[in-house]
This record gives sequence, structure tokens and C-alpha cells, in this order.
Amino acid sequence: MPHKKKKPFIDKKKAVSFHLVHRSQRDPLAADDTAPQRVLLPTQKREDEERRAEQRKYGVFFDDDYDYLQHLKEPSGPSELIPSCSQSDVQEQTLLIPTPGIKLPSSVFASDFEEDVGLLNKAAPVSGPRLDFDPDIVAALDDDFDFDNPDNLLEDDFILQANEPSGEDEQMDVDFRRYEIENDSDGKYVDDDMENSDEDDYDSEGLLSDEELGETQRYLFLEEETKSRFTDYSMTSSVMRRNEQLTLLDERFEKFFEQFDDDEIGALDNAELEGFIHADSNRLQEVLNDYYKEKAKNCVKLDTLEPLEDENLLINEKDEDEEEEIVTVVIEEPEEKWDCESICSTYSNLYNHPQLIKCPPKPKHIQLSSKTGIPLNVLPQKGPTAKQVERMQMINDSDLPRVSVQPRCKNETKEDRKVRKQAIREERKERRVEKKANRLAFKLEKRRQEKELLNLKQNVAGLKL
Amino acid sequence: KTLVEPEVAIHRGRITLTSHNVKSLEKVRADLIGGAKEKNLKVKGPVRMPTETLQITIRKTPCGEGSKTWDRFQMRIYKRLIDLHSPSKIVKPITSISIESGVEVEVTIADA
Repeated sequence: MPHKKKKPFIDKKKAVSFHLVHRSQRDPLAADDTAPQRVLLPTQKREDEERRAEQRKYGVFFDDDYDYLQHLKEPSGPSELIPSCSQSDVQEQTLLIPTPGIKLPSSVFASDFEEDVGLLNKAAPVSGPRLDFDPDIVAALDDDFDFDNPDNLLEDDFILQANEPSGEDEQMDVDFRRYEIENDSDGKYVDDDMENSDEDDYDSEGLLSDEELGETQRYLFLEEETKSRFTDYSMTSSVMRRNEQLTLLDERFEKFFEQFDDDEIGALDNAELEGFIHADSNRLQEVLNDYYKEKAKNCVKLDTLEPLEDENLLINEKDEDEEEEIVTVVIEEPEEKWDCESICSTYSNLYNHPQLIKCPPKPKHIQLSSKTGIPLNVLPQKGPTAKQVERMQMINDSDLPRVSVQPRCKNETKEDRKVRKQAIREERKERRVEKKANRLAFKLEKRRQEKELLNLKQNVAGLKL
Repeated sequence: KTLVEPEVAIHRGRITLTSHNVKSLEKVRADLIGGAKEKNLKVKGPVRMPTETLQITIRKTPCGEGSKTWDRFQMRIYKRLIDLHSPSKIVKPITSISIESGVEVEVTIADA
């Protein structure tokens, strides 16, 4: 089949390319459920050389195909569709004109404008009832709050009123409401005060607490038990400001957990008691008496044994006349008799290892050296003398390395081999000569000594001088 | 090839999927082709380009000591091409279908 040039599916020079990326968090459509979360981002196709030149301008001297300029760019403004140009332009033109053929829905692209703060960086809105707000504030924020009701109005000089020192009609702070609840006498003031202090600034209340703390501290703190099951005398352990409702919850919690206090679980007998008792008090006497009684009981047991026996005897004596003689035999339990041998037999062999008794070794007599008179085997051995050391270090002919012992070098030429073999033969010759000399010497010496001995035996032994 | 002036312009587009993870790549590819077939688009799919193996052979040791052992690291890049003929509004659901991490999707649209 004649090869026909195929028309490419997409003519790259006229086509537009996009990357499919996630939508930016700053895009307002990011929160929109209907808009697709992925957008098409146009790619830039630029000549390598120009790009490298551009990169070098910014200090990037790598010569690979990677586009480092994408990291240099500031976050781009509105990004639009642009046609990719084969002729490189220095900068991406922010053209709004798409190629006439392509029409795509705008939601597929990133939005034109972006918010300053992305969706992920925004704080989550708090929903639900905000307990740490004052109920008055919550009521005021509510839609049904009646602003025209004269009771709900702030007085003109509410700051001054709030700053008034504590007295009979004292303006109780939010902080001090806890004490109010506990001190019943002040409870009636709560309703009055709520109206006046409801819309106070938290800041002013903070100041107030510092000022008033000194005065009210005296008669409130002393009576106040600030320890609860959850906080140990800590005033600042509550993260949320405590208003009435919250305090009520705290109280209820406390009461509820009272149930779970450990009230004397366990044996009462072992309860430790502390205290002081007089030596001659009644209780102590009673205890002593009990003790003596117990002791007496134990003692009595022994005494009762014998009378019983006597009783038996008496009974028997009575019957003696009438019946045959009944001899009372007192059977005593055989007491265990131990002697030194049998006691040892009760020991377990785990700990008792019987052995023959050995005589203690005789101490050896001290032997004196005949030469010096110093006791032998006592002083440490002396090392070699200087002369001996020197002699040892002298190199003998026999110590020199022999050719026969040296390893054969791998790459040996014929001549080298011949030389080596010759040397070995020489050595062997010399060695033979040495051996012969040694043998001869030994033979002679042996003969001489035998002769001497014989001589001695024949001539000298048994001679009386 | 369009007939008389159509209301909806049909674009020829090529979707290039690139990844070093075959499973997610194949999953995205299946999603795309499945989605396109449901909408009765003309799909030419998937053309599997030969995978590029990027190999690096490195000494294991941080110093030079020890027997000379080498580590061989490999990364395989898989590429799939999908050709589509789709009208422009179909592009939208296609872009929202497949969500898989590690797969790069590039869309090239030709002039009609």
C-alpha cells in the first residue's frame, strides 16, 4: 500500500494546550458546589533558548529543559486563554481574545479575579449557642430584642456606675457572681445588678476586678472555698468566662461527682486512725483487758489437760474393785532423739556436700640457695642479661631467609626460573654438608662419653683411697 | 468533520495523561473514557506511549569505604493519549470527573 502521509489529529501549531489543575483556593468559585473544582490552565510553549536567556537574567544558569521561570513569577493576575505562539514572545501576553474556533464554558477556567484570602485560610465560622457570652448580650443580639424598652437601655453614665466602689448596693462584677451564689445573703442583689451591668465592656470589667479585688477580697475570699474536684484552688482554670449559667453547670457537675468520691471502700478494720489518747483512759484499759483475757484463754488450755487425766484415774480406781485391774498405760509419744550423725542426715544435699576430711597440707621448708643464701622460688625471675639480649639480636647466618622458602613470583621468565632452581640446589648442598658434620660430631661425642664411663667403671669405681 | 453550521462547535481534543503510577493512571483513563462513552462522544482511546524508564545507579555508601555496591533506582513514566471529538459544553463534566493524585492531565484543543 503506498504510504500516505497521515493528517495528524491535532495540528500542534494551531492548537491550544491546557493543564488540568485544581482550582485555586482564592478563586471565589472554590466554595461553589456546582462549579467544577478543576480548571484548565493554559500552558506556555516557549523556545528553550529564549527561556534560558531569560532565566540567566534572573540568575538561573541551568541548561536543562525545565522552565524555572514558572517559579520566578509572582502570583499571576487574571489568567485567560491565549493562543500558543510558535514565535516566541518575551512575555506571555495577557490577551483576552481566544482563537475563534474554540468556545469553552467559562466555569472551566479559573475566575478572572481572586480574593485576597484563600478559602482554606479563612477561619471557620462559629455556630451554635455561644455560652460564653452574657445572656443579656445574647438577648441583645437576638432579632427580637426590643430596643425601645426603657429597661433595656443603657444608662448614660453606666461607666461611672460600674466603677463605683462596692457597698450595700454593690455592683457585682461578672467575676464575683460565683461568690454571690454561695453567699445567700447577697443573692437578692443579682437581679438588680444584671440590668445595670449587662452591657458593660469586658475591658472595664477587667479593670473593675483589679480595683475591687482588694476590698472584697477580705470578706469574700476567706469564706470562699475555691477548691473543686476539677480545679485545685485555681482561679484561672476556666477558659471561658463564667457567667451564671455556666457556674450553675459547674455546681451541678460538682454535686454529681460527689457521688463518685471514694467513701470508705474496703475493710474498715484497717482504717488508720490518728489522734492522741491518754494512757489511763477507759478505752485503753478495755483494750488491755481484752488482751489479757485472750492470753489467759491460751494458758488455760494447758491446765485443763492434766485434770482430765486425773479424772480418768479416779474413775478407774472406782472400777478397780468391781472389775479386773485396769492398768492405765500412759502412752507417751516417742520423742525424737538426735545425735550429730543423724542430724546431718536431715540436711539436703543441695546445701550440704559431704566430703572426706583432709589433713591440712604440711608447709614446705624454706630452701636456701647454696650460692647466694637467698630463699629459692621467692623472688621474681630475672630476665636475660644484656649480653644475652645482644647475642639474640645478632643475626646469624642460619636466620637469613633462604631462597627455597621464598614464594615463587608469578610471572617468571625462563632465566629467572633457572637462577632460582640453581640457588635452591646450592642451598640443599650446603645443608647436606652441615648435616653430615653434625652427625659426625654427635657420633664422636657419644663414643667419647661411653669410653669415659667405661673407664670410670673399670678403674675408678670401688677404689678406696 | 462537521456538517452544516452546527449550533454546538465540536472540538477535537487530545488528553494526555502522564503519571509514574500505573494504577491511578489506568483508573483516570477508564473514568475518562467511560464518561465520554456515556455521552456518546467519539473517543479514540487510549494510546499507550512507550514508558520512559529513568534510571539512576548510585554508590550505596556515603563515604568511599567498603565493597563497591551500587543502588539502582528507577522511575517509570507512563503516558496515555485519548482523542476526543466533543462539543464545548461537554468539556466541563469531563474536567470534573477524574480526581486522582499523581496524574498529570494535559488537554490540547485543536482549532476547529
